[in-house]
Amino acid sequence: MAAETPASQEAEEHADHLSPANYWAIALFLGIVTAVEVAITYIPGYDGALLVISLLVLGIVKFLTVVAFFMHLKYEPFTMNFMFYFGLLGALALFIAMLLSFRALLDTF
Amino acid sequence: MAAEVAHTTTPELDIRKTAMWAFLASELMFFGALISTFLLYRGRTSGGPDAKELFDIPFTSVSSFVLLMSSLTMVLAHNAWERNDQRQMRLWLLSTAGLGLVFLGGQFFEFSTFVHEGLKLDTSPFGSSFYMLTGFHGAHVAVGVLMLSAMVMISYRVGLTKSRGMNVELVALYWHFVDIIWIVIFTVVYLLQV
Repeated sequence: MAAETPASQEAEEHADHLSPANYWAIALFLGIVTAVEVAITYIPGYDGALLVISLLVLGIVKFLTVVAFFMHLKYEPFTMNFMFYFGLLGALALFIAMLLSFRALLDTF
Repeated sequence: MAAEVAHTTTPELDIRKTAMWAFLASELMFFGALISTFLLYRGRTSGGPDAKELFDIPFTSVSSFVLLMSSLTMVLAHNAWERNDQRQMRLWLLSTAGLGLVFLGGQFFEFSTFVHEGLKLDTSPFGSSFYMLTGFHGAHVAVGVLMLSAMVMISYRVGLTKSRGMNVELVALYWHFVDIIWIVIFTVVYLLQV
């Protein structure tokens, strides 16, 4: 019987596991990460590749947190995950191809 | 009869949500192209002002924080909708729309300041690509505010219950998407350029 449960219903049941308190905690985390992002751009000597990598990692953390918990993609069926991440990979491929075409990939950051 | 209705509507709802994810995936590629274009042209200022001269990071950080918090209010609206708490849902939907308007006001102020300082749409490839990217994002926020306002109006007229479809969930997905795009823009276009 459980096997007949629609995938979307299962996803909703999982989504219900997060309470408003959880969402406030996630928002607090996102706010702190944003504050850290801004703060490190003002630290003297913290620049170059180290700054770029730090900002990209923090940006990716925020991006994935919103996608996983606010958009509930973590609890969605494989098809929806596949579509979104396929689009994300497509965007990254487009990004790299465009910059490579103009020989600008290494100069970008 | 009720079971029949539930049985026949569930696959349809699933398709709408799947279609929304497909749409968002295509939007990722759209913004990927705009961000790539900006990165290609960011150094071509044609004698006009560049990012270091123009960008006000503390101001943009506040705008980013406002948009992040609008994602919180949106997910709280979605949570209230799942609990069928219409009053809370309306409150959070209105809060989300309000925060979206604050973000748009900030963007309008930022654009006005940049134009005043000499960066217009046709000043340089840097200006064109910057306004195209952030302008398209702003347009997406504006569409989101309209959709949120429509949700509130519909909820007053007929109510937004789960049995009436998953409109709140679809609008929530769109709104969070607008937020994640801004996360990328804030990092790549603003923080990495100053």
